[in-house]
Amino acid sequence: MTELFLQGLWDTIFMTLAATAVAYLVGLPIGVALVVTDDNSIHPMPLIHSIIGFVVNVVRSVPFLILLIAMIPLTRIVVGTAIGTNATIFVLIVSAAPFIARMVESSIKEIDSGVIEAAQSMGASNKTIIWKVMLSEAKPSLVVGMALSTITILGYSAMAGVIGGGGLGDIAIKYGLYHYKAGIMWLAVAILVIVVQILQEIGMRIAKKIDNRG
Amino acid sequence: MAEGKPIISLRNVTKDFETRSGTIRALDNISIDIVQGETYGIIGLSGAGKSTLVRCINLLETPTEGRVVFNGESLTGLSRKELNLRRREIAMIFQQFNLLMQRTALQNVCFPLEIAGVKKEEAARRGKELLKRVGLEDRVDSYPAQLSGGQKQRVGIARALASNPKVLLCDEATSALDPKTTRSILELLKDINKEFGITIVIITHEMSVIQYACDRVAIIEAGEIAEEGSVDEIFTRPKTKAAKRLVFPDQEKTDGIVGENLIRLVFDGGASYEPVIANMVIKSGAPVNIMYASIQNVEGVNKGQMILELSNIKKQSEIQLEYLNEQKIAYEEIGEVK
Ligand SMILES: Nc1ncnc2c1ncn2[C@@H]1O[C@H](COP(=O)(O)OP(=O)(O)OP(=O)(O)O)[C@@H](O)[C@H]1O
Ligand SMILES: [Mg+2]
Repeated sequence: MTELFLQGLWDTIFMTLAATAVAYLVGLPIGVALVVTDDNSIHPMPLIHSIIGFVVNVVRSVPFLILLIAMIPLTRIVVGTAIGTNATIFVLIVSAAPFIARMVESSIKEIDSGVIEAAQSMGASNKTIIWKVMLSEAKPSLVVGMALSTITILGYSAMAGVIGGGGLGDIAIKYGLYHYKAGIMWLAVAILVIVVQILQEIGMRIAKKIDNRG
Repeated sequence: MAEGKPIISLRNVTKDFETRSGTIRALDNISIDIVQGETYGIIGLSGAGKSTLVRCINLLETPTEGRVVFNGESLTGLSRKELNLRRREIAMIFQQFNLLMQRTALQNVCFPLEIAGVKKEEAARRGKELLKRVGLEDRVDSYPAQLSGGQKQRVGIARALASNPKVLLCDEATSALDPKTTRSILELLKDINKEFGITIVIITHEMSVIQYACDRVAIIEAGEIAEEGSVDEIFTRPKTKAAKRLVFPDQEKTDGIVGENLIRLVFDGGASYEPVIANMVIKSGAPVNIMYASIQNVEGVNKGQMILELSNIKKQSEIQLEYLNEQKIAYEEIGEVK
């Protein structure tokens, strides 16, 4: 039994962290692109901005559970199988990347436009502005966003239990729903709650530590 | 007319903003020359186009028409890369300071040097030197959130100086500060102007700032230059309505006061502390009558206006006006002076 839970916990954590990491690799640049191509930003490109915004919104508006099922053929092509942790990670990435892009966008937009203008007045290139002004100044907010994204992805990963995605959610569904073992289900849920609390706390602490604004 | 070599010339600069409710002409055919080494003021009421004008100088705003010439070279046709190089020579400070909040004072000052590719140790050395120059040697590692408004602006000035600019643009750089701090910042700007020979352009809506810190001034109203000239000239003899409105504010309060030999005096904090009225009386040997006075002493600086009835003997009223001219106190005749 303990082994089952340890394996479940490990699967959940692995799926969550791996999916978050890759989803950031995809979502962060998209978020930055959304910011810089906006009107009045450092590189306005109205058409590109609308296209990216539209795609992001479409993917975001598909509920995760439906995406999970609808993507089965694609997942099979890309991952080789439509069940298990690796398949789940793939769907998690697709579903979380647009969410992360919007988070990154709103974090960067919190920065006072005057600061960006000051950098422009110094002759900073757009690359410098993105790295040294936008991402650097938004760092605390980005970290909070990352904690939130990780928690959201954790929640989604649990949902993947319905397609036999592995992890604690899988355990909860298998034992709770199919075998009427409520005790096991609640234990899995309790562990999920604790993991979420820990993630949240770590995120907030780091954000507070690196923020020099107050 | 100004003498010397112009460092910045605007030629027929027009700026239109397209908005949903139509086109707004923020600048209308503006031509000015700013001479190397001077402090040049641009003053106007809110919405007159001051910020747009100063942002056109370093092309943060692209003029719809016209040319911007910097140091003999037209900026308006340059590529992005070339423009960024020129911008290092035209520094800017802001009303809201616009410091990087996640960087210390020193890291902020080093930012333009990072952009210019200066080596880290060299940048830190220069940054410390500049912070010392603006009186913040003990706040090198403070974050902006830990500094007062005046200190933040000092960091802004040190940062602006880091790239050894030829010109320093100041957009309402003292408008968020109290009168005393404003003075000290203007003092610093004047020193910098003398010490480094940097041309300074000061944008403000406060006449006292112009009078305290500028050699020449342009008055901008509704996107046009209404009047331009030396500060002394415009302050003591404003010609246009726009200039009079700035030199003599809240006119409507005193509209009811009519009569002969009336003059309106303005104390904007630029005049000396001399007891003006008493000296007018002593010098002329004749009394003056105070018809209206509204003067406030804000942190040791007199601000406000007064309406005086001068002596009705011409010789005496002449001596009284002469004294005001000497003291560089702005006045306008609002009743016929005999
Ligand atoms: N980005 C913009 N889009 C549309 N209109 C603008 C824009 N920027 C400025 N304007 C308009 O141009 C005019 C001049 O604005 P500007 O900011 O230059 O005035 P200002 O003299 O600096 O005023 P203030 O003292 O309030 O700062 C105003 O009518 C303003 O509404
Ligand atoms: Mg302005």
